[in-house]
Formats: sequence, C-alpha cells, structure tokens
Amino acid sequence: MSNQEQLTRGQQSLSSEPSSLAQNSGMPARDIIDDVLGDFFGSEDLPVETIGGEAQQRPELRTMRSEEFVRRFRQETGQ
Amino acid sequence: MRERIFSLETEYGVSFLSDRSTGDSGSGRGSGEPTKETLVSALRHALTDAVGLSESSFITTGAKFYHDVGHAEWAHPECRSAREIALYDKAADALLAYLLPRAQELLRADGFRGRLLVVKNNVDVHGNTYGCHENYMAERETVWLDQEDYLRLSVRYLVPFLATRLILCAPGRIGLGRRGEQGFAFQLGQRADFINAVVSRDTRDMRGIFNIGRENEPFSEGNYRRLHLILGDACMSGYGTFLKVGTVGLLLRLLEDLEIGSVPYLKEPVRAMHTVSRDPSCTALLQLYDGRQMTAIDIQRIYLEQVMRYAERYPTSDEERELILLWAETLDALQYNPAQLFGKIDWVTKKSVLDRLLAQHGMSWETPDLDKHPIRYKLQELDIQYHNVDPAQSLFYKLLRSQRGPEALDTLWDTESVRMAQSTPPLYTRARVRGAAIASARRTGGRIEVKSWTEMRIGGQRVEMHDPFAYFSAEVYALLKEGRLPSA
Repeated sequence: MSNQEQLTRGQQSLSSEPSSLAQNSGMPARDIIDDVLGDFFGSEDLPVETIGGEAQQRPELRTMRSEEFVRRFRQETGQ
Repeated sequence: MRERIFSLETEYGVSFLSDRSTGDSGSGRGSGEPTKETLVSALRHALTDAVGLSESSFITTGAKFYHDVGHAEWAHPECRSAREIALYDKAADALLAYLLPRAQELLRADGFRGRLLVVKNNVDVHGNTYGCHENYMAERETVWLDQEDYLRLSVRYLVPFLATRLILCAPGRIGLGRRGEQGFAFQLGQRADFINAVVSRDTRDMRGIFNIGRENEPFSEGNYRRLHLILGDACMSGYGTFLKVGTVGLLLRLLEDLEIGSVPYLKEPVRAMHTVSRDPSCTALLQLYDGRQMTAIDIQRIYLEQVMRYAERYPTSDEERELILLWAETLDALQYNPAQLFGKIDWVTKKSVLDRLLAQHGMSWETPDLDKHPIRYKLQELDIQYHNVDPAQSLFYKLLRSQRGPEALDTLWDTESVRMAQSTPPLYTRARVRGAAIASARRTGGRIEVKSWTEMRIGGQRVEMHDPFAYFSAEVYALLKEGRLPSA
C-alpha cells in the first residue's frame, strides 16, 4: 500500500467515525490531572545547583525550578 | 461553491535556553546567544535534510518553511477540507518535534550549547504577537452582488461570528493586556488583546477581526479571492483547528449561496471580542446594535441554526455534517458542562489544569496578590509548556497521552496519519504536484526550483499551476519522466 493510499484510508476511516465528542469520556478524574501535574513538577524541589556532572552540562527543562524557567524564557530569550 | 481550498500559516515561537547554569554560555559565533534567525536556520537545515531541498523553502508535503521576523513560519500546503488542514497542522508540529535533536546538534556544532524550544503559541511577554493566519478560497462575487457589495456583506455577516468564536477554539492565556499589564488572570484568547479594528488591510499595526489585505492574492485564476483571517490563535488540539476552520468554511457556503439570515450585529465588535476572551464562564452579555444583549453562545447558536437550515436544503459532505454536529455539541457543552471539552478545546483543558494547581495550594484566581505569590511561576511555566511541540516537555501532550496512550499525537487524527502527513502531500490539490516534484529531485539528486505557490522551474522549463484543485500535471510528470532534472 502506498503512502498516499494509507493516508486516504486514514482520512476515510476517521471521517466515518461518529462524533468524537460523543465518544469522549469527559473530564478525567481529578487524580489524572494530579498525576500529570505531579509528573510535570516532579523535580521542582530539586535545586539546579545540586545536579552535577553530565546533567549539568545539558540541563533538562524539568531540572529547573519554574521561576528559573520563566525568568530565562522571559528575560533571556524574548519569548 | 461546494469545494474550496483551506490553509493555515502557523508561526512558531523559537527560543534557546543556553546552559548558563554551568557558567558556559558557549563559544558560538557572534555574541554567544543565537539569534532567532540562527535558530530557524538550524530547524530549516534539519528539515531540508529530512524532506526538503537545499535551495528551496518548500518541502515534500508542498508546505513552505521559513524565518519571518523572529519566528518560524510554516505555510501549510493547499488542503481540500478542514479535517485535512488540521492534519497537516498537527503533522508540522510533530515533524518539528522530531527534528529538534538534529537542530540542536547543528547549533552545538556552531558553539551554541543549550536547549532549543519551539512553542506553538501566539504571544510573548514583550507584547509581541505572531499569528496563525487562515486562508480560505472564496468566491469574489456572486450572481446578485458585485465584488464590493459582496465583500461588504461578508464583513457584516462574519464579524459577529468571528468576534465570538474564541469560545470554540481559543488556546487560553495567563495575562490581560498585551504585556500582561492589565492583570494576572486567565483569558481565552492569545491574540484577542492585539485585535484593534473591525476591518483592516494591515497585519501588524492595525489588526482587524476581518482582514482584507490578501483579497487580491488568490493564487488561482477565475472568480476567486482569498479570505485571509489574522485574528485567530494556533490550536494544539486538532479538534480546535477542525472547528475553527470548518465553521468558517460552512458560513462561506451560506454567503456564496446568499442563504444567510439575519444575525445580531455587535455594537462594538472589538470590545465584544475582548469581553468574550476575558469571560471563561461564557455568560457575559454583549451589547448589540439594536439595544439587545446576547452571550457569545447565543450568537454562535444563531449561526449554527442558519447552517442547519441550509444543510436541510443543500447537499452537504460527511465532513460538513460532522462539523455541524460537533459545533452543536461544543456549544451545548460550553453552556451546560464545559468539563466535557477537557482534552478537546485547548482553553478548557489548560484552565482545568491551572485551576487544579491553584486548588492544590488552596488558592484560586481570586486569591489576592496572586501575581506576587511564587505559584505564579508554576502557572506561567504551564502556560508556556502547554504549547511546547516536544511531546517530552509539553503539557498538552502529557495530558493527551494520559488519555489516549503513549504514542498519541492528536485529538482528531490517529498517529499513523500524522506521521504520514509529515512527508506526504495532500492528495487532491496542486500541493501533490509540487510535493512529487520535490520528492523526485531528492531521489535523483536533480534540481528544481519552486518559485512560488503557483510556479516551478524544472529542467529550465517554467511550469505554472494556477488551478489549486489540479492534483495532476501531465507537463510536470513528463518533465520528471524525461529526467529533465540537471544535477544540483
């Protein structure tokens, strides 16, 4: 099957679906949001300066505190 | 007009978080901080390697990617439906995310150490905005109205709809006013505070609810114009893009068949749009010209009812019927149970998470001096990271994947289709011809020049493509078959 045929098939199968809102289970349980927030801010309490070695050379965003992320994003990058 | 071309021009914010914490800001060329142009150039280089040509801004999907005044602009290929343009918009996000590591390698090779961020939002904290412009092929005049009267009618008819459609598709934003100077609060729209005119030709200083600046650049022959809307925000959720673009397409059909009914004219459309943006309850009353008051939901329902009556008398596509259903369900949900829209409409999703974070700390948006509390930084980080195109960092994708599985990329399209649309053009527009020519040149090492949306040069021969619906060109395929692609 060619790429284009696959794409056509994908479009057809989706356009024949019933309303996706009707299928939606609605607001997830509060604990799902809590899990995502917990995951997102999981390393929030870890000060940047405690991360050593290789990680310090290439810091992941989530090893920064929100304040640091926002400050850099605002003041240093112009976004 | 039963069929039309839809497209979007999505501008991405690009940023670079250098490894300052190490005391090593890099030894890059120039000042040590890469410019926006450098960042976009790295992305473009990576994109060219994957699906492009070194001397062209166009890629194998038929889209165009380039640097535009401090942002990365992705001008999408011509699409045949609202669902299709929603797919290509999402595929662009996914492709940029896929290319981020390669772009970072290129930056590192130039001495810039840090992390490249690509963010699909529409405002920065310095009071700059960048758009997600919408393009609709539309009839220039009708049997009964000349061009000028028809345009005037279009403005009168569409402005109340456009000023209130934020409730359907806005992304949500923390901050009131262009720089957030009017308050630390949540509002629906990101560009709403930058819209300062009902009608404009300009796209920078005077931004209109209805823009008429591209009417005479239809990129097609015949009785067509290009409706170019600049008021909208980019959606992370394909569901929002589908509703945003699809509802305009439906209303254009009513206009073109002159099957419009009376609509409530807003007394002050710009102020009304700002009011709608600052009213997550969707209950604010908007002043009408005739002295009455209506909510944004009331006004949207009037348009929806007209579309439903139209659909009873005129043939409609499966997609149009699906759009009508989704529009109705979305308005019902906004009125009676907005939580149903979690994971579908960006502003509802983002606000749910921000509200929950505040509640976890025993606070709300009404908490005094919220802007001085340290939690503001978490809220602001979430507000930015919601729009990160990198699924590993993005709040949108974390929420999506918690609902739909670890590989999910969209609320509307399956992951396989999104992956496919990263390199394959739309099937039934001229983007397919453009994409095929670029793909051929990539395979053969030959050289073509894509001069514009309507013109290519193959083997020294100029090929014009003025019909956007023409997805096959005997002339182009003959040239490609003849191997008239001189080596690059």
